[in-house]
Amino acid sequence: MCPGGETLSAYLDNEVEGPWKKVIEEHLTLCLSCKHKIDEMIFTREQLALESAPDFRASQERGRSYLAGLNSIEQVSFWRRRVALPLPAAAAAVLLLIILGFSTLLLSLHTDYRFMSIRTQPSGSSEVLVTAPIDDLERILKSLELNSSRQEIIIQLPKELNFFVVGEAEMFRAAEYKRNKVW
Amino acid sequence: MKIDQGLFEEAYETLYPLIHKLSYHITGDVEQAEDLCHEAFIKYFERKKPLPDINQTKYWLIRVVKNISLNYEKKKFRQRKAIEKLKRSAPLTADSAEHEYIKKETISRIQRALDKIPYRLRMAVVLKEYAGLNYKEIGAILGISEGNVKIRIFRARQRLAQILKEETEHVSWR
Ligand SMILES: [Zn+2]
Repeated sequence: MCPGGETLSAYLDNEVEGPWKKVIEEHLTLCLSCKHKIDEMIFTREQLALESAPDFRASQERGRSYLAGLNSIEQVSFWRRRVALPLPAAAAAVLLLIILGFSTLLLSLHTDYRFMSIRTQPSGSSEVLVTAPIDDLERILKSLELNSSRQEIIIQLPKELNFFVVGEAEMFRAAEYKRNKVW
Repeated sequence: MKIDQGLFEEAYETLYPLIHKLSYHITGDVEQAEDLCHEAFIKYFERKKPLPDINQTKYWLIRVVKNISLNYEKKKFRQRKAIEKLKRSAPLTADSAEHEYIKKETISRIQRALDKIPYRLRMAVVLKEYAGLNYKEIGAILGISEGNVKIRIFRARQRLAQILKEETEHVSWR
């Protein structure tokens, strides 16, 4: 009985175990049909083997220089990177949304911002909206720090703000490259 | 902890040719092969834990190529559909027909045949013929049994032989 095509193919790949291998070997000397089948498989395999892939070296170099750039970025720690990001230099307004557990707590803070409103939430907590110039940001943050026990702070920057990249321009560029895949 | 620079360099030097070759035979496109290959090495580069040796690294990279190439394959399938649709609605102009012809000529007939067989068969036969892996290793990478590998490789060979034969007949007719 003739072995199946799968077995012949596996035999070609040296994936047939001991006794079976012998059986197939013997069969191939006797059966022309199977010999023809396996010769065809050998021919296909040889054709595949002759096929060469395009030269990889230029591609390897491109990858290397890209990875080198990636490596120098990796060395900047996440924390430092965050701090290094500049706050907008442009004078603009900052909207501070402050939710306090106790509104009284806030009232004892700096209350000299002109654009401030207090709203009572359904939950009973108070929401304090403060519109402040960006120059005052530091002062606001400082005062909040002093009373930071139970506060949630959301800082909302105006939509039309323009950010100037002061430092780490390389990082942005690299991120851009990665997105566009031009390397 | 990051992968040691020396270790990465070694892997990049020794494994790039193989990963590039596999990527090419799987995608059938030089540019895509490069993208795929780079993506795989970036993934390796970003790995937190180093792999024990170069061999393990090789399997790991091949597995990554296999995973990413599936997305490429899906994209290619969608593009082909779109092109077919476009061709039906607007017949090829002389220019684009010539472009098509040149593109076809630069890709070898073997690679074209590989492109014609289903992705899962191509993947198995490429790992066999171009990475020289055995059935067990291929099964581990593809997440299928050795028996399944055997079937896929046989079917791939059958299809390839058929396609190449038809092509030869077609050429001799002209
Ligand atoms: Zn027989």
